[in-house]
Amino acid sequence: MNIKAIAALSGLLALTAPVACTSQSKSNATPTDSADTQKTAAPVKVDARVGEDQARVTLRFDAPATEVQVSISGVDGLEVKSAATPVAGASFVQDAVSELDVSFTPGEGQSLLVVTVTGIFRGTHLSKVSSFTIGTPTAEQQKTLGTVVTGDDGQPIKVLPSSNAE
Amino acid sequence: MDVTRSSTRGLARRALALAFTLALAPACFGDDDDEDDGGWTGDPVTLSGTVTYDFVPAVYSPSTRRGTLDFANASARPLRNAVVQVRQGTRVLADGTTNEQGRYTLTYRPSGTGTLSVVALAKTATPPIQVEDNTANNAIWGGGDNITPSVTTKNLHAAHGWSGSGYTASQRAAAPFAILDTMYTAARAFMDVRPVDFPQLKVNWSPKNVPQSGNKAVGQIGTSHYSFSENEIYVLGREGVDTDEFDAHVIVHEWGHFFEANLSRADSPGGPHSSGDILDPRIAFGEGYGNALASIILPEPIYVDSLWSGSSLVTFGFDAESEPTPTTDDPSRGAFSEMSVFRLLYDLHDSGTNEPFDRVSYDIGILYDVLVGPQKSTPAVTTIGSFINGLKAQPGVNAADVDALLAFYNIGSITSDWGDGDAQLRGMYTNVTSTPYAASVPLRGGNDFNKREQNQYFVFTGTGRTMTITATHMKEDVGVQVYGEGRLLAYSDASYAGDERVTITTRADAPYVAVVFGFKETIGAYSPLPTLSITSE
Repeated sequence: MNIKAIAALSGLLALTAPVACTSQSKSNATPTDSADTQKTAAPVKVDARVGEDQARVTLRFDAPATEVQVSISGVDGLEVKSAATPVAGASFVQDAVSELDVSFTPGEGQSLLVVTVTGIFRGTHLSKVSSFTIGTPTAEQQKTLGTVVTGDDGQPIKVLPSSNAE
Repeated sequence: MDVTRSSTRGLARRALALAFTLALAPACFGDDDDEDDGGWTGDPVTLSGTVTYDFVPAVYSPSTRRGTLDFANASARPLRNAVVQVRQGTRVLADGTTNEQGRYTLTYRPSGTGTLSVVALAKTATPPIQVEDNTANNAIWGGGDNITPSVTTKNLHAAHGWSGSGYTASQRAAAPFAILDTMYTAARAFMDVRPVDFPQLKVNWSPKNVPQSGNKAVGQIGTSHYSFSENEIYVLGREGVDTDEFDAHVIVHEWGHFFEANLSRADSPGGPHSSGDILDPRIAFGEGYGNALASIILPEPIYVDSLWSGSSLVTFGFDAESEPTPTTDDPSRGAFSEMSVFRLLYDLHDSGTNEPFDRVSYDIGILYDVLVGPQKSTPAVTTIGSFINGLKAQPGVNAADVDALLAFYNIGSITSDWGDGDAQLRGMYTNVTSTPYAASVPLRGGNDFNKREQNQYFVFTGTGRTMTITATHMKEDVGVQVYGEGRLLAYSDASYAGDERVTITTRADAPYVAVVFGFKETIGAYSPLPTLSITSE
């Protein structure tokens, strides 16, 4: 794995620079755009620029954090070739930005790159999971489990079998 | 509970068979002894049974910071108040609902051709809640089995489908029922103490729902959330990424936002938030309220959220009863902290027998009365200030005891919806004494738009004529909202710089609140400060 900012160095830089890096790409969400409530999550923005077999993951810490662990994984057949835990035990100051270069082998069709950030943020153990889509789905992947049936009442339903079905 | 759980082997095959027979009517039952080639005929049949689902507890220890979904302690729970149907092909022959024990009884008369089946839907009748698959044309989730007229007892069970290291997709049937039943628990908590007429709630869950923004129809829902614009809830479901169907606190929290928006009032600007943030007090209230409601209703003080970290299924959480030691998770107690609001509201309800500062214990009916009464109609915006002032007006509430609790959370003795009694909260509001009005707005940048430093409220009086409210900054992005008559009246955030202007028709002498907010990303005061002007025709 080619980690642009390895955990220790990233954490060290973050600790020595109150504003290690100020991203100009901070999303300018408005209350109208983001009025949806969001479940509680670690105050870190996770973004990624993804290619066919590599990605640059950017983490921006909106609060100081310690004991930070970053896990990179895949689903739907995506296999991470670089380190699965590129950051472990690191500390970051507020507004610190860390970039991680990740290499992977994508799954067939569409697969997901998953980034999980866990740490202690202002005294609270918090996590945040983000996923990024790689590729386009196959015809098989576009199918959903089970069959949607619309009855004479006009209501579509999707039925899974009872586990005590006979 | 007379539930017989048989082997789950072959469920995938049966899923296909059931779906096939539901989809294709008339279906072939040539091998069945109870029918002839002409289809079913005969006398009415009474079918009864029990519907259950697997509930999996999410566990977390604040002391060890460890937890997981505890499949070893999963239990079969009755599916309450859920719609059950007998179908023949695509025809619904009979429908009814389960009772509080999950029992149902249906009488139907088979006729014609088509496979008979009994299906429990992830849908309750009262209150009307239904869990749909947002990635499959919003179909309502269901669980069922084929039957014949000779069958008079049919129990249905939705299994969690966990095989020890992952889910077996075709057997992961419990998820929508767990969400439904948890929300039913939340609704019943209020319906048991007050007459409540809940509007319909649609909940969207899919095993494809991932924490990624984009097209919700393919599962890119961002995160588990309540959508104010759609008035629907979305729940994560992707194995190996983040699943929330068994995270009961997350489910009730989001349901709490639905309650706020439909029966009470939510002025929260939304957006990212976490413990330790010094938030706009509107979102501090909304998020703290959601967590407190979950801990009160479930009832379980420890909020738990499960997720995948690599290949491990882990959890995080926090305790409504107490802050962690030695490092607190609430370093800035007060009206701007969601953790303070969370624990304060929880303490208002729990017995607090081991806490000298907590001498109160108000039932959920009183909390309901405040939420649908003064909190909804407040002339201010919805904060802990408006809630506490409304609470103090309820019969049986001891203001001095409430003040003692407020003091523990570093909140002053609230005496008005505007936060009088708490200097910090009152400082959110600036009284506009006359119009035309022009003033600088002391915002500071460096945080999200929903933090305290990026928001300031201005209270003005309607003239009975059209009034124009304008927030301006020539270099930085600012916006303006106007509240009045118990709701958001107008809003502008159209450009990255310049004027943001709204025009409203006002009632004479009625109070209005203008909220000026900003997005400056760099730390420090705006230079120059944004301005606000209020004029009347």
